[in-house]
Amino acid sequence: MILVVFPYALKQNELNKALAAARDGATYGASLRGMGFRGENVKEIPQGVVKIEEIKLVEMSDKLTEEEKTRVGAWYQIRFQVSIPDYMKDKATCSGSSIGMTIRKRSISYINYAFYGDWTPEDELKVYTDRFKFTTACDFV
Amino acid sequence: MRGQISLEAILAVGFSIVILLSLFNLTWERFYLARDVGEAGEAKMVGELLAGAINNAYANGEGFSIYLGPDVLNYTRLGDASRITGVGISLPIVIDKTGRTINISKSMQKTGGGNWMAAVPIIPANISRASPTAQYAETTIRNNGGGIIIYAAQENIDVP
Repeated sequence: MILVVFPYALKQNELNKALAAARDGATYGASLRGMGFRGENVKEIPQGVVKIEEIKLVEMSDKLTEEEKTRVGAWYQIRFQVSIPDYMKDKATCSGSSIGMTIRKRSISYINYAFYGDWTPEDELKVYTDRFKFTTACDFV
Repeated sequence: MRGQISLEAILAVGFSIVILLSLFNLTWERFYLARDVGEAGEAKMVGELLAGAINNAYANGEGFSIYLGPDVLNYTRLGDASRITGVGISLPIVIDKTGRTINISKSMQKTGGGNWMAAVPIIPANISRASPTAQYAETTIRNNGGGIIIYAAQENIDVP
C-alpha cells in the first residue's frame, strides 16, 4: 500500500513545500517593502501596510508548451491577493507594480532555495521543480 | 505476513525520512527570513532614532545636543556579521544633505537579495560631521547655531 501511495504523497509534498516557500518569500518581500526598503535599481515606494490577504493556487497546465510537457507534469500559478494603501500603488495592476514585482520575485527566489538551495533562480519569475512549473502573479484587493 | 508487515514498516520509515529531508531547506529559509526581516526592522529603527535626534536638535535651537550612547546605538552590534552568521547594516550610515534623508543600507546577500535601502526623512539640510572629542562623545548631535554637527567616526556615520 505504501508503494501505491508513495508517488502521490511525494507529489503533494512538493506542492506543499513550494506553496510554503512562496508564502515565506512573499511575506519577506511584503515586510521589507512595508518598512520602506527597496532593492538596488528598484523604485522607492513610501512605507506603509503591505498585507498578503490570501494565496491562491491556479492550475495552468493546459498552457504548457510541448517542450515543457516533457519536463514537468503541471503548471501552477501562485496568485497573491495583496492589500496596500493607494499611495503605494505605482501601477494599476499588482503584477506589474513595484510592490507586486518584489513579492513575486522573492516568492520565486524562496521556492528555488527550498528545492535547490540557491537563492538566485535561472528566471526571476518562474521555477521548474521535478514535477511542476511555478509562476507567480498578484492582484490588489 | 510478519515479513510483509516488516517490509511495510521499513518503507513507512524510509518514506518519512525522505519527506523530512525534503523540508530541510524550507526550515533554513524560514530562519533566514526571520533573521533578515528582524535586522531590517532594527536598521529602520536606527534610522528613525537618528532622524529623531537630528530633528530634535534642529528644533531646539543653538546649544542643544543629544547623545546617543552605545546602549542606544551600538555600531559593533549593528554591523556584526559573525554573531548569527547574518549580514548586518552596511556601515557607514549615510546622511544625504541635499535630499534631507538618512540612508540605511541593509545587506541581504545571505538570501540572494543584494543591498536593500531605506531613506528616513530629516528636516535640516545644513548638517556636517566631525570626529568625536572629549567633550562630545561618539554620536552626539549638536546644534551650534549655524547648523547640525554630528560627532561620529566616519566609518559609522558619513555626511558626504
